[in-house]
Amino acid sequence: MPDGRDAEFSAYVGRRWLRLTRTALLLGCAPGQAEDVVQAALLRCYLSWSRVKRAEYPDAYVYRVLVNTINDSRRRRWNSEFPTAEPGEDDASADPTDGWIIRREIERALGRLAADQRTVVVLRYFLDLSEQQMAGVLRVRSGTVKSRLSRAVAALAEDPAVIELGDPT
Amino acid sequence: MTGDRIIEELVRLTDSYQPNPPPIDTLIIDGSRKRRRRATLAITGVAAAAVVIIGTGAALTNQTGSPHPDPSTQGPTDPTPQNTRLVGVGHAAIDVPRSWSTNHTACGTPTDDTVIINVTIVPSCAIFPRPRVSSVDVVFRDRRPGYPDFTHAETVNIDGVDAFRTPLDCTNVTSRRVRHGSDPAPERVCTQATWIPEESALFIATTPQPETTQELIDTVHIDPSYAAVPKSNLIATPKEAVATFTRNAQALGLRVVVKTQDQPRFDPGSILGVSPATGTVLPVGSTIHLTLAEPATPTHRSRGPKATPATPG
Repeated sequence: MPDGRDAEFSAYVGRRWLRLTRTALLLGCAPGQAEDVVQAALLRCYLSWSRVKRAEYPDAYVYRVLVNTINDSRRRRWNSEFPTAEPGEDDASADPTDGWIIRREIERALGRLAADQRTVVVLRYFLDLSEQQMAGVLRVRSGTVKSRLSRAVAALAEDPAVIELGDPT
Repeated sequence: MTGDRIIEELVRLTDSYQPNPPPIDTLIIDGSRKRRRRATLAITGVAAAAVVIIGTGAALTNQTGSPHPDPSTQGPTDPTPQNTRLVGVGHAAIDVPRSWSTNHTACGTPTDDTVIINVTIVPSCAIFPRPRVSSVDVVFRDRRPGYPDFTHAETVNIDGVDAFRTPLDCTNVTSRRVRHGSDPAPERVCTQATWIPEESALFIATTPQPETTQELIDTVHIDPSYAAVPKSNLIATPKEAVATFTRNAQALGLRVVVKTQDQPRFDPGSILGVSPATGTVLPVGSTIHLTLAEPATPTHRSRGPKATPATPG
């Protein structure tokens, strides 16, 4: 029978696995790599599970470990940083026109951001973290998060692919 | 591009992605195995490194900062910014645990978990082996550093500014229990550095754990709304030192207020102290207090410190 710690950890992984792997994808991991880095990050969290539980924002603690693990994997030159498949490739047949094109262009625009800008965009708009939580994840001041995010959004707005897509009416 | 649009597109990007089921059993088995291994090492583990001071030379006293902190923790630390403090050069900063001391060294070697800020005078003695502690060196460096080796450094972008980061370098250092003469056991020291030429900032993290070293270096960032208290020049004349310090501080957006103190043992006008200390990160617009030895004016000796705003030389 798993002890309480293992049961808590199992329940957490069950709830968060999909979100974490999709986050890794948005942070630039290839689909196969995303599961590997999330597994590595969760293993680290398992080893310091008591700290995860004690953190003011346990999810933010785990996201921080995930970001660090992705940075580590890039240093060790795992597979390419960007997805090896075009986004929504499987969906091309189901939606060969506008939806697929939009996703591809957004993916490319995201990929053109600097790594730290991409990270704050994902933390803010996909994971819905507050400035304070993001500062905790990235271990920088809230002001730094704010200015980094502002530059990232401005860069996205000026990206030629995004401009061409226009805003939905 | 609006925030709502970004959210919408990010969600759409990942909607079609369905990973394999989570490998929960594997995680728990691997994690349990690692935990047992760590527990075994803790019981039978290496001897504590002994500190041996060898050689001769000037016994220059290094500044020691706050009292001995808690030992460095293994693995990730609590990410809340309240447990950390910023130290830096220019507008660049690194996050270090708040519990770390400052300049807690002997013979230039850290003897505690500590931040080493602009220690440029190192006495000609040595401590062997290096104690099992963590440290971050914060250095004003406006040309390519000689240490660590930046030959294979990668170019990185930190908050829009080009910087150089060395590969993580872990080496085994033999420790030796001097008193009982037990067999030497290898200890590991992992170092990584980031140099930001535009800010003349060099950060060197050295810890026993590769993950901890990388986590520290990963916190290096640049924020123009903050600035670090600059260093003072120990070699220049007092007048030049004050002028340079004031100019550097004002260029960073910091105010300088000069106080004088009656200290006849020091050359008149020489810098007695800087508050907050060099390397402290402050919001732009903050005030630094520079304390100078009072000028030699016997007929107008003051009885205590008096403050005047500084003017650049």
